[in-house]
Amino acid sequence: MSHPLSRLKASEWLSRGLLSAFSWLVFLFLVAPLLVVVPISFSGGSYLRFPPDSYSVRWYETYFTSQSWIDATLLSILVGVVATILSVALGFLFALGITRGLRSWSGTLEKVALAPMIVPSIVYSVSMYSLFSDLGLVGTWYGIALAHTVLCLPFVIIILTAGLKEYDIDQETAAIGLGASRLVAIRRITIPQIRSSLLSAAFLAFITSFDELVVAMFLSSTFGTLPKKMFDNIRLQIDPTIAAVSVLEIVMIVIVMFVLLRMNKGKASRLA
Amino acid sequence: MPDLRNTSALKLESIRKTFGRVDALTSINLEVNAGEFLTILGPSGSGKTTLLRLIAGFVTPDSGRLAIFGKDMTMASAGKREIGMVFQHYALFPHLTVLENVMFPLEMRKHSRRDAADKASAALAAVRLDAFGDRYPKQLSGGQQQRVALARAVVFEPKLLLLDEPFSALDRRLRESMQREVKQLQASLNLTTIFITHDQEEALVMSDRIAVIDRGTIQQLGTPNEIYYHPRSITVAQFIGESNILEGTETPEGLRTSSGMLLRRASPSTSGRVLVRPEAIRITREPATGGATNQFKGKIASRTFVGGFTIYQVDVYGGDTLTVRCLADEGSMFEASQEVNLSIREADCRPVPQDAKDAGA
Repeated sequence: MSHPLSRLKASEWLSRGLLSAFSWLVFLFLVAPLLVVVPISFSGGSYLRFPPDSYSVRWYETYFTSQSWIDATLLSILVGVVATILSVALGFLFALGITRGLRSWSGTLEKVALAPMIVPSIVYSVSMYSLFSDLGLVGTWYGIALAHTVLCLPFVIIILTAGLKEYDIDQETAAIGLGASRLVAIRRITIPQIRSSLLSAAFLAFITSFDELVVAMFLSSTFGTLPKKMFDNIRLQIDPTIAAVSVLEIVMIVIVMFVLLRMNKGKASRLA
Repeated sequence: MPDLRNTSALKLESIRKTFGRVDALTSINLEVNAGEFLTILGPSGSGKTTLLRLIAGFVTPDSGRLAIFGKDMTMASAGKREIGMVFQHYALFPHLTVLENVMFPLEMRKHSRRDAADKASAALAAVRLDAFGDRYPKQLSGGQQQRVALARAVVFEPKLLLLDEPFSALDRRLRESMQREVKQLQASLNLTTIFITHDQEEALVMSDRIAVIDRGTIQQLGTPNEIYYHPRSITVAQFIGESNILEGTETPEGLRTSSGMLLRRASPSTSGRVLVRPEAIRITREPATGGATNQFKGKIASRTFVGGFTIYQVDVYGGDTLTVRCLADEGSMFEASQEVNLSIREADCRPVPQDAKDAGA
């Protein structure tokens, strides 16, 4: 009697073991580049070599003491923040539209909104370049920010549409019935409840812009965003500064993600 | 201050609403008296939800007029109508505490925070939840959430209270106690209340009057008694309570069904239809003695024990199958295929008019 039962248990144990082994493998695959880039950033030599022969923090010094690196970073942050604000604002309105009044069109509109993700970035960059040169926007930081806004929109729309679909619209209706205007109802009742979606959307939008190279190459003139500066750096002189910059970027992103997670956790426990 | 005694709390005149090609409401006329508890009862798809949203101000009619205490509100926005509403799933704001939820309508009316908190606390006390103000809605049970929704709907002293199937998510025991509680609160505030439900039992229990709605029109408006005992159409008869509806031809003695049963009635009628409520049929082993009754012999087809009472399906010899409901009595239950006698008083054979639509056909 116990034989088939123990066999069942053994196979269950085995499948669970295989599953977790596989999960770890995927995880390793995902973090492998980080495991390489971190040691290189602390390299003592002048070449990108793994593993490094000696260790130092000189490439971090190079980054922090170079005006051009700092300028590129500040520019990227400015462009990223503006693109984030614009794309979240526009994407929120769009998501409200397709989850409300435009329901019968929502499927089509949602797919159209993803177009910037599908169009090859080089094609998008060329067309943006020709459009923006007519408008005099080439070589301006806000030109890059505008072009990035379009690239960020699909992510924002996917996340916010999903968030709004889960949201019970009766609550907004109830708020209006209780005397709130539509605008007040959205601000006081709807937005706080899709806050986690809004934060994730903003985060993803910022990362998308902060990390974007092709559009930035076409639209910037003498100055450049951080990815462009990194690209120029490898073309002219390959040294481990870009590894140091990458590590700093990773650290920044991890901190932001951690903060977002904590913010959502606090909210989740309250609503559970 | 206008004299409200002669003004109805809510008046709907020839309200019509279509969605695309679908007639949601064809022509609704309804007057609700101040302080009254009126139920709009209908199956799903009958138009009752549209009617509710229209009264609340979330939908505007294509034509017709809507007045609240004599004031035309046909095109007024929801917030201007001063209507408290309890939604089917309560629609409490999960990111606000219970107290903040109840304070919300007062804040929207520019009460000071202090005043809003005091009034909200009082409203919570009225539903016995004053100790729960700091909690979040999700931390409360279904019945408690319901009471918060109720407090939020009445805290700003609305002119009307709308209840949209508020008990449908509660279990039976809780539902009954909530029904009593809502009724008490409504009576103590003397608040005109419009209650939407598809549950006929709930409608009978709670209402001063019931408006039965189907296919976008009000089929009948009356007290629970009138609706139950004197349904004006087959639709209403079948929707309220269980019923045996027998059709046939009118003869001088009474109605003769197509299967051959003869039903004598207390009052003559030409409708060709008779309604017999299942509890109006006596079921006995021996033929019943006594005057003004219709008597039939039959055989038990099936028996369903429902606790307090028992439901039998009885095949009448040379006749229809009747549903009979009688108080459960452990000592004298009838078995399947047992022969029994049925008797129906003449007064309990109630004529039912033809449905307006059927009559036209």
